[in-house]
Amino acid sequence: MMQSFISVLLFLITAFAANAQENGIIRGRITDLNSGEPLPGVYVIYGKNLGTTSNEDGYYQISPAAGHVSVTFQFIGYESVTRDLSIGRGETTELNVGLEMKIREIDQIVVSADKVEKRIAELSVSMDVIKTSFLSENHLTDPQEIINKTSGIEVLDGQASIRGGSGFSYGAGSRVMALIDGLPMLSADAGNIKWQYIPLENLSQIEIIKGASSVLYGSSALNGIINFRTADASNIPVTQFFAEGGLYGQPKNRDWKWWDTPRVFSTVSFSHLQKSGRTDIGLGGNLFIDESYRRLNDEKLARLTLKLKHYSALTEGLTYGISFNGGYNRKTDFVLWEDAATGALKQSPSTANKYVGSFITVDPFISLKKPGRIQHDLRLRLQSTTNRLPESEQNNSDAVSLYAEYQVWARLADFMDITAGLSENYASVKSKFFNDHNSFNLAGYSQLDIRPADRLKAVAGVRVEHYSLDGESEKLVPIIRAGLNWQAAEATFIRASFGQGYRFPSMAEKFAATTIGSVRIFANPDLLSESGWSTELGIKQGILAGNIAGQADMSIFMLNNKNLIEYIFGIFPEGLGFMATNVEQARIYGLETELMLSRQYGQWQTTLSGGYTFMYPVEVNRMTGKNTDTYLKYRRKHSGIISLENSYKKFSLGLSMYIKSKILNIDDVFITTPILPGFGGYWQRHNTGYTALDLSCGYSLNEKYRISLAVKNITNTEYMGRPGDIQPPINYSIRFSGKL
Amino acid sequence: MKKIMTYSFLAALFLVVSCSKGDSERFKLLTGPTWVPVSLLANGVDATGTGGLLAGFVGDAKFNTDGTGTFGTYTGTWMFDANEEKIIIGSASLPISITLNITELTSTSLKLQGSFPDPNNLTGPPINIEMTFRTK
Repeated sequence: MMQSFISVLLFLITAFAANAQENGIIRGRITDLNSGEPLPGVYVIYGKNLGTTSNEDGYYQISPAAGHVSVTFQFIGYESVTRDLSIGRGETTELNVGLEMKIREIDQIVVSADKVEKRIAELSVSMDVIKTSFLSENHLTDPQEIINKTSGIEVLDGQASIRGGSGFSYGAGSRVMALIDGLPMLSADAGNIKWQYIPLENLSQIEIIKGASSVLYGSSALNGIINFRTADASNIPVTQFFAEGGLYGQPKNRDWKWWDTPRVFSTVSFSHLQKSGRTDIGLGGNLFIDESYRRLNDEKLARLTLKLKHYSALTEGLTYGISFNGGYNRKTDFVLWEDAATGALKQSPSTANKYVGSFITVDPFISLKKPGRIQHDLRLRLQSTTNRLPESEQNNSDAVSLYAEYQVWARLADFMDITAGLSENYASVKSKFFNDHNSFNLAGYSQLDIRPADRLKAVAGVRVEHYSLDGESEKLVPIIRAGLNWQAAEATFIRASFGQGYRFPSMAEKFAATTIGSVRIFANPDLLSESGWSTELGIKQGILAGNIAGQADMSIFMLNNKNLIEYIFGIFPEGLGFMATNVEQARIYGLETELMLSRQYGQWQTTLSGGYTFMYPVEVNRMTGKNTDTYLKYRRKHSGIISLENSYKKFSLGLSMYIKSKILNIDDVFITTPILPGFGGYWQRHNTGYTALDLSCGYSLNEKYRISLAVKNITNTEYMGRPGDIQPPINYSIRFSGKL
Repeated sequence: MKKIMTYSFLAALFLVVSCSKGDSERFKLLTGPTWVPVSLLANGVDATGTGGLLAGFVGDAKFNTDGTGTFGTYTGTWMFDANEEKIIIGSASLPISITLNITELTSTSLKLQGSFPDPNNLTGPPINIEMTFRTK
């Protein structure tokens, strides 16, 4: 008996040893990517029914067959990670893995809505968050294109319109405040968004508030804000880069093709994030060259960003640092086409103007935080923009602004917090185009966050702003906002909000006087500020069913704006031409729905997202306050987006569809005058709405490198933004990217 | 510190809710009466004859309080500019809107001044127009 037992034992030992000889060993430790803490209980899978779990210190060991092996690490609440490697017989390989926490959509932390960190589900306003993965998967390198592909927002030739709040104002002014890390980045002269200088290469996410946000963000946040948040360094240094090249296909209307050799575009981009001692370092850069599908519309762009953030060793909670963002741009803007028949993609030489511009921001900041008690923030932005038009130097301008903001957040009681701040913005413009001007804003704001009941949150805020231009003060602008959020069930949040907004006219709208081609523009120093309010009622529902997770959101909203500034073409005492005028009273009713569902099954992940927005935008009789039967200009009733992303092992495939109904109304000048030759007839035939499709696919060469292809406007749909602005035909791009 | 912030918040809120606005005196002066033209001049010469530049403005002018109006043979809309020193007239019968300076507005007299492009020379110097009205 004893002999038999020993024989069996020897056999087992021998067999085990032989197996170990044929197998290799992989061992390592699994940690939280951000905190570095060990993660116990992580599933480590390397084949069907083969695997183990990490121990209480995060360590694991597996013994797969020698050769190529694919190991997947799965843990609830974390993004799954798969590593491919080769091991030899009897070889031991160490594989340490950091897992990144997966955040439920409704648990995402955002800062823009209330200027403090909050769960997105607990906000009282509508907010969209765009992740950087959306940018890379879809080869999006232009911020305008990114925003334009967001539900409920349209960008017409640089003019962002949230829920129909804006039309097209010929590049002057913006009713949407653009921010980089919470600080305004509108140009001091034209008051427009300098999209090309937004540092996409180093973003963590983009947050968009849909609705008046002037209480916290001041002038220009009349319809909402877009906050581009840059990334902070994590414990593990990360370097990312990509190089992309592409070309434009033939336009659907073959008569419009004017080129003999392909029109190409290319981009290279990099970013590096790392911690060095107690200092976070972020560095990024981008080069972009576009020959354009339109004649006399080429562009070259360079950007460089640097962000330094130091955590004080002497004072707990004290951080300080500085950010730098610089850009240089050479281009020819597209203004008017030659004619509709054969010249829609050819700029009229009479309006083609070469442009050379630069943009620099320097942002020092200091913050003292005592978690859960009080936080002080002092932030500055020194911003300089130059606009040079070598062929019409009378239109050059230089603008410098200094924005400073002090904000304090404090917990007044267990159920109440306060956020209060003071901000100033001094701007100086030197230009023959606008003449020389300077402005000064001084504002104070305060907001209470109240939790009167366990699942009920309320917010109430007020702002008073003083504005002076060339030493002449305008009357104080006092505005309010209020909102409620009620958690009706575990993952159901009902919200309601009201907010007022305003916008001081930009210097360009007040003072620009010039001639572009045959078009004259007159100054209007008497322009008033725009003002208005928005309100909404919404519900957000988190979804978790089996391996499907996501959220659904629905809201009804209303905007009411007065004294909206529009460029009107007409007969003025100064002659025939354009002049910015407080002409429009606007009211918009609407409904918006958004859905995001994500399903993970093993290594197969599918994400379906989309949104639909309905708007009824009408002019209001300024005397009676009643709706007229005239639609607001450059608005649409229906717009929708649906996007499907799939990934399996090393492959990814995405398809996005964009649907927009016709533009309801435009300026008569484009139809009744020969400014845009042939436009009237073209508009009658082609203003029918459109559907465009984008396709993208990618393949991960290994853990670090990836190659991807994007085909935009795959149906080669012919569609237009503002009058005369034909959008790109089908275009192809290929990208090589890396994450080291 | 916390009290100061709370009181500041309440004071600002009070400031916000204590604002109101009504119709201006110039609005009442303009919309009250019906106006009849006394003279309609282009470069100082009467322009009301057949085919004249201002022939369409011959007849009563009424600026209604709801922003609509009749201006001679034209019907359409009107509005003040920000300082109520200009008036913008739009009509389906006019190809584009016309903005005119209000050089005089009293309870009995209205004088408007502006410029028109010369129909025979669009790129040349504009024609100066002056329109004088009295109450009916």
